[in-house]
Amino acid sequence: MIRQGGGIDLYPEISPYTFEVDPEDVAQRNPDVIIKGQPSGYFLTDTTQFQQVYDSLISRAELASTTAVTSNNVYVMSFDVAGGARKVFGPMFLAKILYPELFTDFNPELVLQEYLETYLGLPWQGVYVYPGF
Amino acid sequence: MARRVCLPRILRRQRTVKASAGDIKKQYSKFVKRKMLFLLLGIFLLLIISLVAVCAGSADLSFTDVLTALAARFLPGVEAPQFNDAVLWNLRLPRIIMGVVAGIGLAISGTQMQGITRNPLVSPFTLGISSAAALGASLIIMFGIGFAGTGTLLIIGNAFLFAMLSTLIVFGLSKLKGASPETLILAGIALSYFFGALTSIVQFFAPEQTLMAMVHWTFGTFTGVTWGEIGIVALVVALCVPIFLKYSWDLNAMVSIGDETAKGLGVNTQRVRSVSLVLSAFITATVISFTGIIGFVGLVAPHITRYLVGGDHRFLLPGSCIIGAILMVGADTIGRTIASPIIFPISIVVSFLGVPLFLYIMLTRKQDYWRK
Repeated sequence: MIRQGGGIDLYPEISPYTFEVDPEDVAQRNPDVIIKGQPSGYFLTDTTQFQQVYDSLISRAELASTTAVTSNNVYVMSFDVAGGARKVFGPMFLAKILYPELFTDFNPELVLQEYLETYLGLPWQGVYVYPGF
Repeated sequence: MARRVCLPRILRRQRTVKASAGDIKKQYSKFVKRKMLFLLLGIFLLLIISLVAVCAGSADLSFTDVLTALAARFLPGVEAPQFNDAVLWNLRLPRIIMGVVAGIGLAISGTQMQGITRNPLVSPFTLGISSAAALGASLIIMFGIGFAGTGTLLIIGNAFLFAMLSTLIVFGLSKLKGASPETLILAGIALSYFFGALTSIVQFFAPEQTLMAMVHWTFGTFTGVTWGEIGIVALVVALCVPIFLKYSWDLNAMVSIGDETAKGLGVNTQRVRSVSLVLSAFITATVISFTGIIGFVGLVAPHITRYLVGGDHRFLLPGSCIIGAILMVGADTIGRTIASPIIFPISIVVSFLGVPLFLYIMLTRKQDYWRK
């Protein structure tokens, strides 16, 4: 999904989709952007939950000197746009996060809104990215 | 004797024992000294392994880097880069110390459980603790109650709650039937399957990422362990270990000469059994609530130690603590260096490490120490 969104994943040489990785190594590879996935999204009414996750992520001592933290490129994203059948929305959100200057007139949340309201008949709600675009 | 006959060591020793009481004392103190020496060697080995563990890891820290970062916290004049300090104090040392403490806790629980049930196949998980804790954790993960800090606390708390619940049910059920070792084991196994089935139901209905989180929890990990968590586990272990050590002679009696004779010698078998059970479960539940399920140590550390020091619980209990700690720290270090940067879950590595070691010791030792 990262590659689809135009990013470079931190561990291109590892093939399993999910694996536990040594925090020391993440800090050493010095990511430019860190995105943390959270299971909730659609039913959230405000950003407090994502904010708590964000704060606890920023305060990790070993990540303090990474480019991502020092340049404020840490995001919390909901799995509601990045998991299961909704994986198709992931690259959109990622592209907007990674290259905001290229997508100044594009808002992925509008696409999501159209999907929810027109195709699923559900009301538009939820928090999907923190901090917002 | 006319011919030189090769006597087995046991008979030779018996001939010497019949000689005099002073000789017996000398033999006994030699016996004790040998065991103490072994324990000291074990502690030394543990320290060496811990030192290696502190220096091992994905971040390329040299030995001097490690020493400087260690000293920087205590000596005012020494400076260390923030990254080194973070890696050492936030990532590596917590893992290692939690490994030691958890290894001690799980191993001594296992030894105690095997002692009170007189059964070498028993581990703390025979009481259904692991399945129950997995259910507790899965429920919280599934229903997403709480998040970030509070979420983890709830997972820990609920896992612990369910683990102790399982213990109390097993305990209650077995008391209905006379609280013998057999009923304990049977009730424990039944509950283990029951909670396992409930966990499977929860996992069946879980969405993708939630299921991943649940399964990952059951693998067990030391990543992200905090000093506060270490403190809690250390406190519990420090409180329970002296009680277990106090029961050494009682366990010796119960294992080798049976309940009736032991009672005749003044051992309160019911109390030893109840207290040991609850405390073993308590230690195990505490450890696995924080780390996830690490199953092999409680079963196999007592056996390895038994082959090395024999069945006398005065030495078996501390010995298995040391062996348990060595196993855990060794397994964790191997798990995070062998396929760096991937970290293999500790329960898997402990099994891969412990099984060959155990088989080797089992096959190369001539005597069966179980009934001694």
